[in-house]
Amino acid sequence: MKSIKDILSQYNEIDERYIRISMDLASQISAYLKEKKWSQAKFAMELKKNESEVSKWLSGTHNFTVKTLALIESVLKKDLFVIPLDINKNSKPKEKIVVKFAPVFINFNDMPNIPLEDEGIHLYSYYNGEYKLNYKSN
Amino acid sequence: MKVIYGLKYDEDLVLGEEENALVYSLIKDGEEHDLFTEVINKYEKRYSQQIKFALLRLKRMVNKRGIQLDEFENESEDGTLPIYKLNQTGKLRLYFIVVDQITIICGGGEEKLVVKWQDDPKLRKIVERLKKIIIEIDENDIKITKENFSRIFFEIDE
Repeated sequence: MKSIKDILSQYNEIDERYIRISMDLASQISAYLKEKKWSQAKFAMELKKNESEVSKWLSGTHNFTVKTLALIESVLKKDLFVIPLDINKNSKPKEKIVVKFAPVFINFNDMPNIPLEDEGIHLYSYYNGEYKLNYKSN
Repeated sequence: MKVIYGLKYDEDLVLGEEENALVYSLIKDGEEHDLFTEVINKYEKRYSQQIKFALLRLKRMVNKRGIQLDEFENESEDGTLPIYKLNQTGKLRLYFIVVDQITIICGGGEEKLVVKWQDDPKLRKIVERLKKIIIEIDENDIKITKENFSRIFFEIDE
């Protein structure tokens, strides 16, 4: 008599992946139904399908077609698959942005006169002997 | 006739260290093989696809998902006892007691060639056996763990 381990070792990766995907799909659909508080009968009615057929879908071994998945997604208004499209894009490497800092010497005597009523933070830039007010807090 | 059943822990379904479900199987006192191994071997050729999916689904429950009742159908007469069959196995019936959220006991199985399982003496015998075991677990408040399963025995009339 063969052990369960010996029998399991006969199955390949495709079988394992198939079971994983179909079980996960069935479980995800069930979770969405719980979230919506829909019974299997209500779900079947929304899909315009037989309840026994829907029950089979939720059994964990159903071989879904893409069309059936699209129908389920449209009825539930939820995504069942997240496909990593980025992997197919011929994206260019992002350009590096280099920020350089230069020392600035400020002669505070040359600062413009700020009227007393203008309190708060004032941010000036200095270029070619001229100060420019860039920011003033409220 | 009194028959004694013990429990065998199915470590063959475990992949790594993480276990999200514990699968036990009944083993008749004095027998070499447990009821789960027996039914799988008996029907491996005739129901190869069903057995493949059944084992892979159980393996996935053990290693990832935990016991998912969506994968089972209650098979007790009035639906009150935790006797389940794994669904989508065609004419092959694989019976389990769902003890709690992480523990199941396989109680064997047979092919179902009649409309109602009640009409098949072999299937009825399995369900009756599981009923008696559930009563023993319940009445004696038996807690099944990986540490004590080898010391648990059920003496039942068959």
